[in-house]
Amino acid sequence: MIVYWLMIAGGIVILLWLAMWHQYLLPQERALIRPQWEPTHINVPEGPERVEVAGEQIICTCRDGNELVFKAPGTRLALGSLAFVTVNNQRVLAVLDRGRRHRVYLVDIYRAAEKGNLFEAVIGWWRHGTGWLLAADGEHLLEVHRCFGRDRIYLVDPALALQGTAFGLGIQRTLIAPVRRLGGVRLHDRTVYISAGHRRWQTELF
Amino acid sequence: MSDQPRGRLHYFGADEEEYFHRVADRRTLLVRPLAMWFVRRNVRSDVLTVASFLLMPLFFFPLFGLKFYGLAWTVLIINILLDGLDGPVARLGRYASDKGALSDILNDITSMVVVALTAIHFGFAHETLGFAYVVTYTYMIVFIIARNVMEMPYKVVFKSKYWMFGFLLIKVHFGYDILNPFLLILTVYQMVMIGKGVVVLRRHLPGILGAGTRGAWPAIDKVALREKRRERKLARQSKRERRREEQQP
Repeated sequence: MIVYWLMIAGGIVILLWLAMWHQYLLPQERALIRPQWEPTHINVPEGPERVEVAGEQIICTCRDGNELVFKAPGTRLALGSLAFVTVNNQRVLAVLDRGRRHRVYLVDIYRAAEKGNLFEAVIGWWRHGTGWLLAADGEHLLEVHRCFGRDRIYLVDPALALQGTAFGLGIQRTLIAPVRRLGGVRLHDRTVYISAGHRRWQTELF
Repeated sequence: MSDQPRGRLHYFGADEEEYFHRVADRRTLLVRPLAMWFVRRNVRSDVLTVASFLLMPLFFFPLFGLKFYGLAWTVLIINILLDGLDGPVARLGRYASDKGALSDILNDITSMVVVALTAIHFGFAHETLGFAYVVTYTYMIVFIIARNVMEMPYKVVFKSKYWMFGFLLIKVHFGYDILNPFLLILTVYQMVMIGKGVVVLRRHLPGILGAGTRGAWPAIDKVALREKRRERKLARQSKRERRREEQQP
């Protein structure tokens, strides 16, 4: 009799574990490829727009030199988790929140600066789940996810992800990283640059 | 959705496959809200398959042992629902593939095996009949998949899994033993299907493969004989047709 109860208890534990960690255990993938990563020493130049994070505060420096400041209360942000992206012909700031909600917010920075709060200028969002790094160039967006200790790079179509409120719906391609853990990712002119410690690699995306 | 290429990794007969593809789109529409709930939370269909797979040995079997039959049947229904939901989730998430189809088949077979073994273990099914049923069912699935992959599907296949679940429920709650005669009949049926599968596959597979064997492909005389027989058969058929045409005014 006790064996049956033990089996049920074990089953509950396993199902709970699966429910909590399913994205780590069985990560999403579409068009999974291992690209030819070439070592590089190129320093990707910073764009005219810069974005910085200070705690829950985001500071955007625009092309004309203006500084826009707004708060993102209740979020966990990092410098590598913000990028400018063009969605439906609108240039917005993609903010990857590593906090409890696990979401990527697309924000109109001018409105956010006016209101002083990111959440009052959100034009859309999607669930990223296990994402922790973000990079974008033009209409292309990269998300780096840590799945079972190994980083995966996803090329995401922001419009599709926005429509389904899930990054899984927007995945166009999944890239396998050359090392288990990445330090940074940049996207510039259809070339992906990644770094881990002092090593850097690049690959053509298209 | 119906324009999608059809995978060959499934265990339907030819007629059943046509029906399945006709209802698959409708089923996706029906469960769309629930499936989208999972898709929006980045839940892969494989997660549902794994959850469904775990439910049977870790919940159905012990609940049966504890005589919580109502809960056990609920678990079985959840298993069937999840099994039916993983396909729509994969289709809506746009990553339906043969990999998922393989997991789905494994999940299907596991649920049948666990229910049959539970019935045997708790004395609801005759041991020999139960084991014979499980073994022949598994063999039959192997032959159905092999023939589908080789594009020579069985025309009609009767898959008895859900009937077996129903008869077990009747035996447990009402005491009528339809289960054991059913297992006997189905074992015989499945043996016939296996036999048919072996004959058809042997007829279409090349001869012994591998180095050092004479005639890796069917021997020339065998092929010639087969061709001759086929020609004679065709000649007979055309003769019959000609006669029929002549007899008609």
